[in-house]
This record gives sequence, structure tokens and C-alpha cells, in this order.
Amino acid sequence: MRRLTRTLFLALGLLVGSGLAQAFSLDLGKLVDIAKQTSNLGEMDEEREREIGKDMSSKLLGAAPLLDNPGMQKYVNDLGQWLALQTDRPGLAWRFGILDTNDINAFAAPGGYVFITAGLLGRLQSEAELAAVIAHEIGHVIRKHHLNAIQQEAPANILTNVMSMAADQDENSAEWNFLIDAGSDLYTKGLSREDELDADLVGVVILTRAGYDPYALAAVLQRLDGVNPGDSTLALMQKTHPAPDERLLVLLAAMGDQLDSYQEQPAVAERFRAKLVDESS
Amino acid sequence: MMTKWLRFVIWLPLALVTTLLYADARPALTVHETELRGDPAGNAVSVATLPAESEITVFERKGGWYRVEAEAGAGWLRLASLRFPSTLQRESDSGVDLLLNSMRTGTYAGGASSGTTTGVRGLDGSDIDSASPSESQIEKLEAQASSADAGRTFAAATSLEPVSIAFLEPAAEADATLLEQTRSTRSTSEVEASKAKAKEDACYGDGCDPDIPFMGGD
Repeated sequence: MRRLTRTLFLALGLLVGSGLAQAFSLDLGKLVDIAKQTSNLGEMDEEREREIGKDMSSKLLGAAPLLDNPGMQKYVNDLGQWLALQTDRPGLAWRFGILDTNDINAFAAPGGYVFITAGLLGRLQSEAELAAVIAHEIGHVIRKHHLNAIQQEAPANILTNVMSMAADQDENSAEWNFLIDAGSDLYTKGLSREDELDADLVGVVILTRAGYDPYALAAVLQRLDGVNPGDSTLALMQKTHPAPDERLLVLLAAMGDQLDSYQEQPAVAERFRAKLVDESS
Repeated sequence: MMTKWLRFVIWLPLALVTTLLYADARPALTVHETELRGDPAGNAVSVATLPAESEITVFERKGGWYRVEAEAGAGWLRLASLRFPSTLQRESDSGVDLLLNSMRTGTYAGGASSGTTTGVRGLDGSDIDSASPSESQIEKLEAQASSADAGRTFAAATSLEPVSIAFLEPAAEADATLLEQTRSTRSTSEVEASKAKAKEDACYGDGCDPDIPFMGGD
């Protein structure tokens, strides 16, 4: 009898103990969750990253709408998809667009949004040059340059709040709008000089991986260097990027002769020119 | 008579755009003393040694080399050894705007025959600052999205072969001397024009005077 009581007590103790342990482990789980509530935007889940990118793109498209030419838009999207396949983020929902403006520029937003202006497109001479511009922008996305720049602008409590927001939570909160405004401001203030130079180095590798002439990016920078500096269509790009001659030197210095064995890869000028003529007539 | 005129109206912009797309001959300058080579390779025979600021005409590019003509002869120059001087002509007068306008409308004749000027649309900082988000444009963007499979088909159609290479490390030291050297070959007027432009661009919005230091925004 005594033994039975002891056994019963023991069993009860175990039961309570395991219950406690279970409760504790639940608490532990919660604690881990709270610890995970980082304020680092770079660790944001993909869905959230895309939401930021979408809202930034929406604002950009409000200033310069998409060029009304489905054929050219498809061309740029197919090319962009091929380039994105050469990165470690091929599964992002990549979206590419030509902006209807004569300005010479290109933009990216987090989550896989990439834009080139019609003004820049019209000054390119081959598909490899177009690929070079798009690959530079893809570089900004995969290196999360915009998220990191927003991070530096935003106070820590805003970041923590946004990072802990449930994905379906109302996105019209003051915190969210702060981030989108900080993101859109990057289009007029520019990313850092280091990020732009980095995007060139990433871009040239994506370009080469995709099978294109690796010197196409250098050629674009050299051509931009030759555009009349007084041309107003260059104004925003000049304000937000290091000078093309500086970018060219930094790019060529990093390339050295490492990509020279690929310089026979095609520039695909014919398909590019045929496309431009087709879609204009 | 009318038909002839119409044909001309259609032909003229086409010819202009074709000229623009195929206009490969461009004046350039060497940025330092450099070897003009018989083939696009560093070990190819030297045709001549060109001093810095030699005037050359560039015809085509093959990888990191340009096929050029200089007074001393024809041959190949390394990409890094030359630069294109800023054109005095505004780029927008060169036919690019015409091309863009025809991409917008899908026809050359439309713009020309209706007598409208090309639709020059800029995009400066204040345009973006004051823009309202456009949900309808986002929908359009979604609708025109392509797929990874379409990307593969696109590449296969022109026999693009993917290669596997690692990302590049930045060079230990960006060559500041070389940048100075390149810039020293710019004519004074080129430099002045670009400085004045930069000053003006740093400054937008009401009441901004480019001649007052530190008014230029960020």
C-alpha cells in the first residue's frame, strides 16, 4: 500500500513535471520568437521584402509610367528572367519594366523589381548592353542595398515594429509609411557610392554568367561618360551615382583580365536592333 | 504625288532611326600613350604607338577592344585607353527621342504626320517626390511578368551558354592617378560645363540658388 502510494506520487510528480516542462518549453518558444524579432531589415522574410519593393515601385511608377509597348516589355522581362537565373535568388518574383521617360536612368526595389528608362534603352547598342544595365540593378536587389540603406535611416523602434508586424497586418501604419518614404527617397538621393560600385561588380558577373560579352557594362559606362554633361536627361543619374568614368575605372580594375577568356561571348546586337526596329514600326 | 509624300514621311524617320542604330563611327581620344595593335589581343603586333590625346575614330567593339582608325593607321585599341568626348549636341536631338516616340505609338508616321513634337518626358527628383503611388501601374507590371522558363527559351533562341564564375573582389586600390589622368585630357569647356551642371543639379526646388554654397540639398 505504501509502495503503491509512493508509485502514485511518483507518477503524479512526473505528470506535473512534464506538464511544467511542456509549459516551460512553450514559454521558451515564445522567448525564442521574441529574440528573433530582430530590427535587421536584411533578415526580413521574402513576402515582406516584396511588399516594401512593391510600394516603392508603385511610387516610382506614379512618377514615370510603364512604356506602352507590350513587345518591348516582354523582351526586357524574358531577358531579366534569364539574368536572374544566374543569381542565388532565382525564385524571387522578378518584375521588369521599361519606364516611359526620356531620362537616362535605371532603378531597382527590394524583392525583385527592376526598371530601365526608355531614354537609357534608346542609347544602348546591343542586348548585352541592356543585360549589363539590368544585371547592375539585379545586383542591388540580391545584395539588399535598398533595405540596408533604409535600415540606416530608420530609428530602431520603427524597425523592430515593422519586423514584428504580422504579414497580414495593416500596412498603412506610420511605421510602414516611414520605411516606404525612406525607400523612395533613395531614388532622388541615391544609394551609397560603395553600393553603386558593388552593383557594377555583381552585375558584370551576372552578365558574363548569362553568356554575354563581359565588356558590355564597361562599354555602357564609357558611352554615358560621353553624353553631354549639360543634357538634362542625365541630371538625376548624375546626382545619384558616382561619375561614369570613376565607375569604369573601378570596374576595369576589379575585372583585370579575369573575364578576358569570356570576351568572345556574344553581344547579341542583331536581335536587339531588330527588336527596336520591329517595335517602333 | 500624295503617295510619294506619304512614303517620304514614313521613310524619313525610319532612315533616321536606322542611322542612329548603326551609327558606329564615333570620334574618340586616347587617354594615355598606347599601342595600336593589328588584332584585338595584347600580344598582337603593334601598328603604331599613339600619344595621349590622339584623335581617333571608333568603328566597333570586340570584348575589351575597339577597332579604330588613327592618323598613324588602323588597328585595335584597348577599351580603357580611350574615351568619348562629350558631344556638344544634345543627345535628345540625335534621334533617340524620335525612336522613343515611335516605340510609344508603335508607328513612325503617327508622330510625323500629325505634326506633334516628340513626347519628351523627363524624370527628375521632384517628379518622384511628388508622385502618388499607382496601383494600376503595379497591376500592369504584374500582367507583363515573364517566367524562368520563358527566360531559358529566350536564351536558347540565340544560343546563349551560361558559364559558372565567382563574384569579383574589388581591386585593392582604385586607381586615382588613372582617373586624374583621364580627366586631365578633358577640355576646359567640357569640365566647366559639367561642373556648372552638377551645381545646378544639386539644387532643385523653389528658392534654391546654385551660386550659394550648401543650398544644393543633400
